[in-house]
Amino acid sequence: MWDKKKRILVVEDNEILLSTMQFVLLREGYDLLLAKSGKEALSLVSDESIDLVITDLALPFANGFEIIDRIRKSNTNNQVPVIIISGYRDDNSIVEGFEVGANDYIKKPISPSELISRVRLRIGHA
Amino acid sequence: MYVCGLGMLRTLTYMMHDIRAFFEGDGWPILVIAALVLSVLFWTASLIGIAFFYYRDYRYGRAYSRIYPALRDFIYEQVLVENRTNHFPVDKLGLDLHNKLVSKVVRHILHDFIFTIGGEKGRSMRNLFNELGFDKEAQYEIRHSATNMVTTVRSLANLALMKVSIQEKILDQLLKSPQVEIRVAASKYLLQVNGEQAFDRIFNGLYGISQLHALDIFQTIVQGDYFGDYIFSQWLDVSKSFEVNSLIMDLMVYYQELNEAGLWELINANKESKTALKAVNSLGKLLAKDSEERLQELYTGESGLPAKLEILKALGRIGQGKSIDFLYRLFIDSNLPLSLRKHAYRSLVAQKPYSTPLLRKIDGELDSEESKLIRSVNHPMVHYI
Repeated sequence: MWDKKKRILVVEDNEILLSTMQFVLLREGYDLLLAKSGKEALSLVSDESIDLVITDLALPFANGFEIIDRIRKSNTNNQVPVIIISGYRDDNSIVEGFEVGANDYIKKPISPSELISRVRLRIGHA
Repeated sequence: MYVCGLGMLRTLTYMMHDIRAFFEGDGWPILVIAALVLSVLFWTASLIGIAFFYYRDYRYGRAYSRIYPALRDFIYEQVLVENRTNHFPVDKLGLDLHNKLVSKVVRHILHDFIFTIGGEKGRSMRNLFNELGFDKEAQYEIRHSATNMVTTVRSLANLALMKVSIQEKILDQLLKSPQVEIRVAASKYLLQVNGEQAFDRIFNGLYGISQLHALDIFQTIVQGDYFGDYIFSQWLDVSKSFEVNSLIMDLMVYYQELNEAGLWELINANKESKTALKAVNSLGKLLAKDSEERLQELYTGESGLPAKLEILKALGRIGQGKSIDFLYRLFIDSNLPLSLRKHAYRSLVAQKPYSTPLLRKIDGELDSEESKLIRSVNHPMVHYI
């Protein structure tokens, strides 16, 4: 019997970072859903089955905190682990991120190998 | 009387004739032609300028969309897949890096990649940047374009990201540049490359900055993961501008460095100044317990409304219970402006449990206006942006 690939929703408006995460995670064998804005992410969260969410905080239309809040209140994906990737390095943003329900916080600039290990820690190998 | 009126009418008729003749070209034809020629020249020059900038952006955009996929794939292949750290086969890129536009686009894209991706891979990309000769290019630009603000600031940002050192003499010139943008960029470079070792040098030469520059420097320091025991307050000085003192106070608050004497010196120099208000605010945020009574004394002086509001906020933040009677008296004083009474109440609430009996007393004696005021403090509207 075939195992279904783990599916990750990546929400990022920076083209370079989005394509790099896409490249790195696809190489690891994960299935990806990509969103460049909070609005796209919210529609994917309500329609698709997801194993992990990686989200930026500063996004157009809905910020990362709102996305996490919506995920935690959704019927289908409310238990899904969330990793924040953000350029905000201050304690307030990090604390707020965890308070709204994030499971991890990675500061930009990101290290691809660190990203992979944190993803594996949350959902295991692809 | 009739003759006088007729004379005035005749004069008016001549004037109208002159004006009409002028606009019809009979008056001063050379002036009219010169005005027309200048107008045509102005519009032509404007259109050429706009067309030039559009064309420049168009060329850049076209080059970017051609180069970006090639460079991205090259980086992914060499850095992420083959884990190459240096000696990159740049010939494989197939780009003419001697072309000024191509070189500029590659440099921008690489800069964005290095800014986005950190760790070992980020270091590898920094090596690629250097192997392509952009570090030398940036150093050259700094040496030879010190008067071109945009180029110098960009080159300093590049060099800071690459952690490439700059000759001490040139750096010194940049830190003393008459252009504030260059001074700030050089300060940021030093902070990013040398970290806390640069503090003395930066703060010693900090002048003429705007609030945005101050914020930029503040963010560079706090993003540098510095956490030590540097005494920022040594740079507080009444003779310095609000922006400089404000930056120092922000850093004191961020790193929780309490120096009440230094802050009070700023307050006493000019109690109504923006610097004094910020100093009062900082005392509150630094929980300056020994200043609680002095702040009350400051309030009772002839201070203006903004100063009084800052004092009340600071008392609420310090919250040691020593000011609750003072705040209560302000709250019940119906002659005071509502904004002051509101902040007095808010600061009382912030001093629970010391203020709990007084708050209960207030609850029992409220009139309708006070009850509205209290509701607005206890149930503030939440604004979603």
